[in-house]
Amino acid sequence: MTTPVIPGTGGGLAEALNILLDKGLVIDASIRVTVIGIEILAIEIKLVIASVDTYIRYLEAMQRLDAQRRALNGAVPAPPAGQGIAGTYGLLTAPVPVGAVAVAPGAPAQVPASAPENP
Amino acid sequence: MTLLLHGVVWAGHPTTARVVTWRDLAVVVSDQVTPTRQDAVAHLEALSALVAAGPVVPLRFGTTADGEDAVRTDVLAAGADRLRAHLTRLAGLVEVHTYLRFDEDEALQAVFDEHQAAWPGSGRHDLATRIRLGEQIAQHLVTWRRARSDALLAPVSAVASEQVLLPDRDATEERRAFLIPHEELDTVKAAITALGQVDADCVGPLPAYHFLDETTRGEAATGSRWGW
Repeated sequence: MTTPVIPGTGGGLAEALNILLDKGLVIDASIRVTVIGIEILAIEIKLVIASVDTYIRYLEAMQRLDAQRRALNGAVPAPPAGQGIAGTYGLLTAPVPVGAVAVAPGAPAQVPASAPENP
Repeated sequence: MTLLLHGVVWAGHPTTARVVTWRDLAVVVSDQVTPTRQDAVAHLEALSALVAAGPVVPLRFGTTADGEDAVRTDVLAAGADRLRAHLTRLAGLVEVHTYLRFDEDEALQAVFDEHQAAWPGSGRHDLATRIRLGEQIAQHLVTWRRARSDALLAPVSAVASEQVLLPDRDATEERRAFLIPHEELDTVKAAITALGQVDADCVGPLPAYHFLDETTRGEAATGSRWGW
């Protein structure tokens, strides 16, 4: 008999079972032939679990990669090329810290003397 | 007496399992009528063992009949044409599942490299936006993984007559079912074993669960509908 599970399988047939439990030919309606509900069998089907937690985890990973890229490009994050309408980019909602604003070499700082240093 | 029905085979199938025969058709049956998960595994093992020696039409797990007479009349006689068509079409063919699990960090890096120009920035987003962005990343992961899988699974596709995508469990795991000639099983096994750069498994031979009718096919790849 051919072994049904090819070596190297993780879950093997148990893995396939989760996919196949609700598959298979269904016999046309008959009083004498019925299908027992899977819920009666107390069998747990673990399928599509696309959770919010996973989405947030992906986003945080992307943000870490983005931060790494910015770090590699220099301590001061340079704005990426403008995107979309009016050359805007991103969805920045946090105010950009004053100290992080890049100043072009040779251009005098435009901070009024009366501006508070630490607002 | 109530019987649990497993699958339909030709009456001449060389199985040692208990069968109920009607003309040229037979149903593999057992007495177990309150099946558990272990029984479900045993059911699948038994059917998988059968496909090596001839085509099998798997019945939905948990199918029961009130005695042998019901099996003959309500299952075999009532559906004879349909069952014969399946058995004829599936002769020599088996289903194989392949599972490719990609490294999540590698996949995220690849998606980031591809899409970073359009990345909306890492500012503070409200929760709904964060979920939406995360979902888009998941979509990009699926697109990336599918393209990689197309390339990696090319040797399997080459010997398969059909394939379908299996339901997703994780954005970085590609799961497919292939319908292949039984004699190509070793080819598939070797191809999957040779995939060094990804965690790859295959399971087979299985009955052709995913290739029983037209409606189960064409769960085709839906490309990413998303973009940043």
